[in-house]
Amino acid sequence: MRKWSAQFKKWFAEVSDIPEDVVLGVPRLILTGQFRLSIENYESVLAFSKTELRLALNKGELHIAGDDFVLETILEKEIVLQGRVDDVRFVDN
Amino acid sequence: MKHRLHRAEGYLKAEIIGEAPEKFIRICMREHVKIWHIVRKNETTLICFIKLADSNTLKKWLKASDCRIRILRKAGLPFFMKKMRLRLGITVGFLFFILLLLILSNMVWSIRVDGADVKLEEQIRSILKQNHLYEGSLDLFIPDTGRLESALSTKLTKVTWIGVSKEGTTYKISVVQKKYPKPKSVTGPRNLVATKQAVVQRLFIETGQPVVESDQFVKKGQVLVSGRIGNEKASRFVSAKGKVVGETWYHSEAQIPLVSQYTLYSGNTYFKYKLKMWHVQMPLWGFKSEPYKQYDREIIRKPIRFLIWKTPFAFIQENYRQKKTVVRKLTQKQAIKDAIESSDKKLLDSLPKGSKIVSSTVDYKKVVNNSLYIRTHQVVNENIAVPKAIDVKKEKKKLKQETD
Repeated sequence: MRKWSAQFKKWFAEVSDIPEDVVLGVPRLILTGQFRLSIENYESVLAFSKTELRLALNKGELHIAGDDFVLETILEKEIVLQGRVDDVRFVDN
Repeated sequence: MKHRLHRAEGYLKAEIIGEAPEKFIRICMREHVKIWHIVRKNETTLICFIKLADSNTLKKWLKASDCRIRILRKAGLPFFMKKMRLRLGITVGFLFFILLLLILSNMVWSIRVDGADVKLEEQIRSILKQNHLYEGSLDLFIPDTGRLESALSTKLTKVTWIGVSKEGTTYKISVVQKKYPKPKSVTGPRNLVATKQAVVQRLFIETGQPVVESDQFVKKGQVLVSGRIGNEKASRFVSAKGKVVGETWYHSEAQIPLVSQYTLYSGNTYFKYKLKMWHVQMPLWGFKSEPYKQYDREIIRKPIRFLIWKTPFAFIQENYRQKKTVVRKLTQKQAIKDAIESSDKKLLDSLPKGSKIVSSTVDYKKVVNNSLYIRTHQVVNENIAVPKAIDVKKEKKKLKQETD
């Protein structure tokens, strides 16, 4: 049933021209060069250190690795990370 | 740049210390408290900027997340205000000092009057005081020097010229006093002669021998009272003194418009006060753009000085005087009355003191183009006698010839 509704949402997004992140509630990542990463539609901050940021998404986790991390802005739906981004990885659990 | 946005509300730079400081961030997010520029210092510590919140609620959140807070820096307006409040005495004192200096810089410190005697100086100072200029008055309320000059010169009759100048905080008033020549009087032997053609009415003689009678017609220059008294054999010369009232006639013409327009001041004045800063004018009082339909505007500019410098600030006063156009219509009767009155007044001004207009009659009148032309003649009683010195030697010679 759940799978079916996800399928429907995906189809709806394709048909209606509304951006997928809005319809599906999936994260949207904007990476500027290697030094600035903006993530929309995240759930919460799980862990933050100089070399790693772990975010909870509505499904799974997002692990970002790099160096000299600074959380420039934290808003309810958006988070902006500055520093050198080496690796962005989605982790299912 | 971001910090500046939060300056008005106030923010903290703080260390969040605990086993899992991320939990504190999550709580902050949940409670919609702004938090930014988070840096990990070490395993247990985060450095972040946080918007100023109530310290009790902050404590609650810290307890919930098992964290401690160490404030590194306090910034923003609330902290600044708090600091200012602690230094209120100094701040107020400093502002008061500046204000005092400003007031003292714009004060009149001395008024120098040059070229006037003590009595006149006293008079000048009292007139100046009426115009708000005295030692210790504020410069802002003093009219400009041209106006002061005219105020002084209209009220002082003993003065030929008066100049008002301003040097910093000193007003200098230079006066040139009138010096009258001593009235010359003919004290030697003299006759009284007629100044103009007239019919003698009355004679008031103190000394001298009258040679004319009442109702006698006299020509200009004719001797009225002789300075020679005594009979032909034994005569002497005196200074004739007295008054001879003669009847004289004058013609005058006048033209008076029957319909005339005047602009009158209604007496209503609207004041605007402005503070000029560089080229910007800020209204302080009086915000109507056009207070009256018809008006005369007068602008008074007063630069504000600070010690010896001129500040870019100036105090501007604008006076709007309401004008009214009044149309006056006269009937012919009124116009004639007005014409006679004005010509009588004009005549009396040109005649010596003590003259009297006995009668005025209208000779001719005509209305052309809404204006009245009128010709009148006046009968006047006036003193026609003026002293004229007698050349004693010549007279004596003449006498001798007559007796011979």
